[in-house]
Amino acid sequence: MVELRLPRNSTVGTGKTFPAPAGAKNVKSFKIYRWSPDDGKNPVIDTYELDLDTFGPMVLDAIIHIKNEVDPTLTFRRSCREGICGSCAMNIDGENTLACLKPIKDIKGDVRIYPLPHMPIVKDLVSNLDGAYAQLRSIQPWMQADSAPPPDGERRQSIEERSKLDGMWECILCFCCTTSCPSYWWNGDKYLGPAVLLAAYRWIADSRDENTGSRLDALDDTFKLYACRTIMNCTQTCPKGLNPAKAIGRIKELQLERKL
Amino acid sequence: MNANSSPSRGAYRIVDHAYDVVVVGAGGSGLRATLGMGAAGLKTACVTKVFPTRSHTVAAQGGIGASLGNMAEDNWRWHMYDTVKGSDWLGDQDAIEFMCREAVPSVQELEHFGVPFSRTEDGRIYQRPFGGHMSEYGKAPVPRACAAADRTGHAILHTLYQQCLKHNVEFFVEYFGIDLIMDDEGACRGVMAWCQDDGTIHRFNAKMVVLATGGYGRAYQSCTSAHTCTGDGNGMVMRAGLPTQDMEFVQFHPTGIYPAGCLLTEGCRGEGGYLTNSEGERFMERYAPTAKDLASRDVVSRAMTIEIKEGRGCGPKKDHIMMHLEHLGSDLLHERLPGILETSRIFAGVDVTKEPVPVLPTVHYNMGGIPTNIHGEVVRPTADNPDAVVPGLMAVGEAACVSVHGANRLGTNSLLDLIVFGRAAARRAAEVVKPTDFTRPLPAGLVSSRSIVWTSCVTPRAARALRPCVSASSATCRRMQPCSARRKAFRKAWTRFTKSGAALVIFR
Ligand SMILES: Cc1cc2nc3c(=O)[nH]c(=O)nc-3n(C[C@H](O)[C@H](O)[C@H](O)COP(=O)(O)OP(=O)(O)OC[C@H]3O[C@@H](n4cnc5c(N)ncnc54)[C@H](O)[C@@H]3O)c2cc1C
Ligand code: SF4
Ligand code: SF4
Ligand code: FES
Repeated sequence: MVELRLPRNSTVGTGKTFPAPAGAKNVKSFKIYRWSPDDGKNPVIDTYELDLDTFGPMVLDAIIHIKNEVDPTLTFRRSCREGICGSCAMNIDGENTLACLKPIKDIKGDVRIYPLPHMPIVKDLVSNLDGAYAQLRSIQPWMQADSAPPPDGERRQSIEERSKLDGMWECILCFCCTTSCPSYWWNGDKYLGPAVLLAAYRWIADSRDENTGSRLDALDDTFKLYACRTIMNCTQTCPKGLNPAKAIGRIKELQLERKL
Repeated sequence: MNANSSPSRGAYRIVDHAYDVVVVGAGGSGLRATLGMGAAGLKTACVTKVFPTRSHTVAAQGGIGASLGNMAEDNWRWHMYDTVKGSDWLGDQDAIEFMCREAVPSVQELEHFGVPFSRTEDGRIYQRPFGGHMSEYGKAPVPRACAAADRTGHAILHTLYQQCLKHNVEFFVEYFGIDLIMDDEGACRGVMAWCQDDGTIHRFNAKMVVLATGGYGRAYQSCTSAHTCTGDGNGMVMRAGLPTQDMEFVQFHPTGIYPAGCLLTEGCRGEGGYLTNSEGERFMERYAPTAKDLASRDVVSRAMTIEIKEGRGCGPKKDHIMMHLEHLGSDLLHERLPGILETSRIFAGVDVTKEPVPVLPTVHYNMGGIPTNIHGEVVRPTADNPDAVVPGLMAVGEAACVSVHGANRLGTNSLLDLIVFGRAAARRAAEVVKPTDFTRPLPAGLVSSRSIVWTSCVTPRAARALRPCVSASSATCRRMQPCSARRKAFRKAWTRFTKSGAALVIFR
């Protein structure tokens, strides 16, 4: 993945160090980005020396341990603790991923934890995703069909048609991909980003949806779609193993086919 | 967002809002209710402490029960019989009848909304067998669980959120519901919430409040549910002096991964998985000769507990059971149970296509909750009317207790409960709430709350103190002696808790 940068005007200072408890044998340092909107100060990196024998194997276990036992001011999102809700997306060891799926033992040396890159920060590891959510809404990610469904049954869809949705409907909207995409960093106000384009293609590919044409029209835009430069960071980073770059490629192909 | 708001005075900044309906919670039940209420023309807000698709419903794996009969003959009456029996005959049979009949149109409607269900050869919704679901009044297992691979809850929750976007629902995301606003006549008049972003307090004046806050699995030390399942709605009604029902009916799911607690769906056994003890014996054949590994959850969990207690547990500590899937073959597992492969690999380090995975009965579901009728209205029995409702208050989903699950919920019946009663609540709200009615101002002094201080700093500590005693004493087998020990431990933790500086904050 390419080098990550923090938002401008935010020189990051050195913060506090919380030493390991006396007698700890299995110690690892966690260096965590801290910023609060309340004190007008620049962000700092706090260092937490933790005894790995006192909590579970994942990075999320470590930060929950910090919040419960060491420093209750540390702020982050989490809920499911099994990689399905998309809450705990953050930048760990230089890579966007889910803290609850990231084993601590996979990280050599200190564990560096930052919020998702290039998004406004609410506090500490909590980034503001309102822009991305609004972009999701803009592609109208819901079933659109003029013909009425059968009154007493389901719409039919063959196993093969249904399999076209695999690799897309599983997206958990963690935005690890979007916030790893350089095109999105540079043009995030205009470029929809991989997660939202994946959602758009999920509906284009659904045999039950009847608005493929207008969906493609809405995406046929220099920035919304074509700002993707096929850099592939998105696919590489997706913690669910999905391939948004491929979906984007498919949308581009369909646009081309329409024009021929 | 946040239309119709005006700041008011006081130490805390309070922002006022007025709606026809405020739904607290954006899981399957909350979103289904919100959607229906918005579509009925009511001015509706949905207040949620996490972004809707992060709600715990996303975790539901196996399926949603409905007697569609897509793969084998089925009938809502058989579904009803199984549910009544599965509940240990303690469920409300009228409510169960309502749920099982409504199941079919409710699930078809979900498909029309766009849920990406798995499909049969002829293009219908795919259904799999599930524990306790039988044909012909208990004769043989029947495929009744409508499934989207092993991510059914994810599929349903995301689709409902998409429908809410379509209907332009107003969301208050990462707002923490604190307390109900009750008036002197015992009616609910609104709800207080705390904006987690900037710390402001929000006062929602509402003609109807709907609690859809989910279960309280996190009262225990280990459970299959998310960190957010802390029973907040149950707490709100208790603090408002309203009753709760059947709170001791807690379901243990037979197959939580040992020791992480993450769930492996019953769909595993539905697809042909089975359990063995340390002697390699398929012990369920002894406990439930007909249903075997697909007996209902309480039966399987108790059997596992007995096997372990009698020394036939697996592993060096003889403290768990093994579940086998490897005989099903890699292809089927990849197609039908991809999430299970992933979860087992990450949390148990096991490749289930090759070896068995260690499991243990784990706290999974709360049958009890806020008592309601089949329209979602909260019930507060009085001496002369056992069905008296609390004006202005509804509850749906795992937070509620319509009592369709009695003492034990059948797998797939919770997603069904969310959808059927979320839908029913929306219908009833459309009848009783009139958008044209004047929004009554809240009387002064009505909205006191000490809960915010508790929520923010004391509760986490108290919860950590209480969890071990809950886990130790309220497990698969209920016994009196640990219960009284628990009462003592509770009292001690509680006293420490209330003394630790929980001040009273009053909003005017
Ligand atoms: C691992 C697992 C697998 C499951 N599999 C199945 C299955 O296959 N089939 C089945 O039928 N059932 C299954 N269940 C059960 C089912 O998923 C849950 O019972 C159901 O999803 C609960 O939905 P809900 O809408 O009541 O609440 P939840 O989905 O838990 O949502 C609660 C909502 O309330 C909000 N909230 C809570 N407190 C507050 C507050 N104070 N202020 C504001 N908002 C608040 C949260 O933000 C959230 O949006 C499973 C459960 C688990 C744990
Ligand atoms: S492939 Fe496109 S979307 Fe993905 S990282 Fe590259 S530019 Fe971004
Ligand atoms: S595609 Fe992957 S990384 Fe992107 S939002 Fe979806 S799950 Fe997250
Ligand atoms: S806590 Fe849900 S994805 Fe990590």
